[in-house]
Amino acid sequence: MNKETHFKDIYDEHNIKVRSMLYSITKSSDIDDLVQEVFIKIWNNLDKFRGESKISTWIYSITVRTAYDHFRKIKKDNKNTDEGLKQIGIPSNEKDIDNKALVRFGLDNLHKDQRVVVGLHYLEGFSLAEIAAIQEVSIGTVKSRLFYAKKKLLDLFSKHGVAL
Amino acid sequence: MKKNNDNDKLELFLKSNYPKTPQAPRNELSNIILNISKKEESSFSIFKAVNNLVSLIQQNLVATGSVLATTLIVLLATQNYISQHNGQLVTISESEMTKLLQVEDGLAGRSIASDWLKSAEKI
Repeated sequence: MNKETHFKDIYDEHNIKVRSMLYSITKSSDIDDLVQEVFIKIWNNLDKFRGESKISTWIYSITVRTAYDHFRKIKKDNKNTDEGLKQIGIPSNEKDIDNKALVRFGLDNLHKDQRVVVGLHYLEGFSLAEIAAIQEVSIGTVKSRLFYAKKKLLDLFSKHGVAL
Repeated sequence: MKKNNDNDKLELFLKSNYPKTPQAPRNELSNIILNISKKEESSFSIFKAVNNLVSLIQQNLVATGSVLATTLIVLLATQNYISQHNGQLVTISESEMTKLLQVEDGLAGRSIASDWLKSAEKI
């Protein structure tokens, strides 16, 4: 199979998942550009892929690294403070706020490592082992990131009257 | 990992309050392929231009010192350009670089290089 055909097959099989992962991790309005970046990286590195991992793991690793690049570009302020809530228009003392805004704020204000794990695990349904393989970290690291992310989110939600 | 109730509830809450992923543009694959082609063509053109320059030097058709300095700068710029854009198409070996660095008259070609580089970037 030539490179072009292989590439098209990869796109057909993985583009929906790549798009969904990027959106779950970043919720970026530049999602089309991010997807393009991922597939251009895949094209450029396809010859180097030696099959040491599953091709899906390799593709999703590129996807996650692209999300990290995006985080670096936008230099997001991750302060999880009431001041931050006010800045995006969420009153810190008001319980009846829009859950969508609360989720958005909660996720946006996680540390980027926690944000990635939450996106991959809760929104994309990857197992902890899969996330560890994609990010090339130990399962313990993934568990720890998820633990602190979950705590942070539950605290925030609880503070705004959402008991889970 | 087996999810407990807390996890299930959190997952459900996040999922139900997270916006749906926007759909891909209909021509996404074509756009990606077009972008790849543009970048490859652009990088190749610069590489080809550098090769032409080296060829001129080899044929003694241009003043060696200044043009070698120019070439070195262009090679460095090419390498930088390529690593920024796709990192794949051309690599310049250390020995090639060393050879060029040993050439006398390293500064003479800078102004020529600057002009040449501007035109090379437009290729």
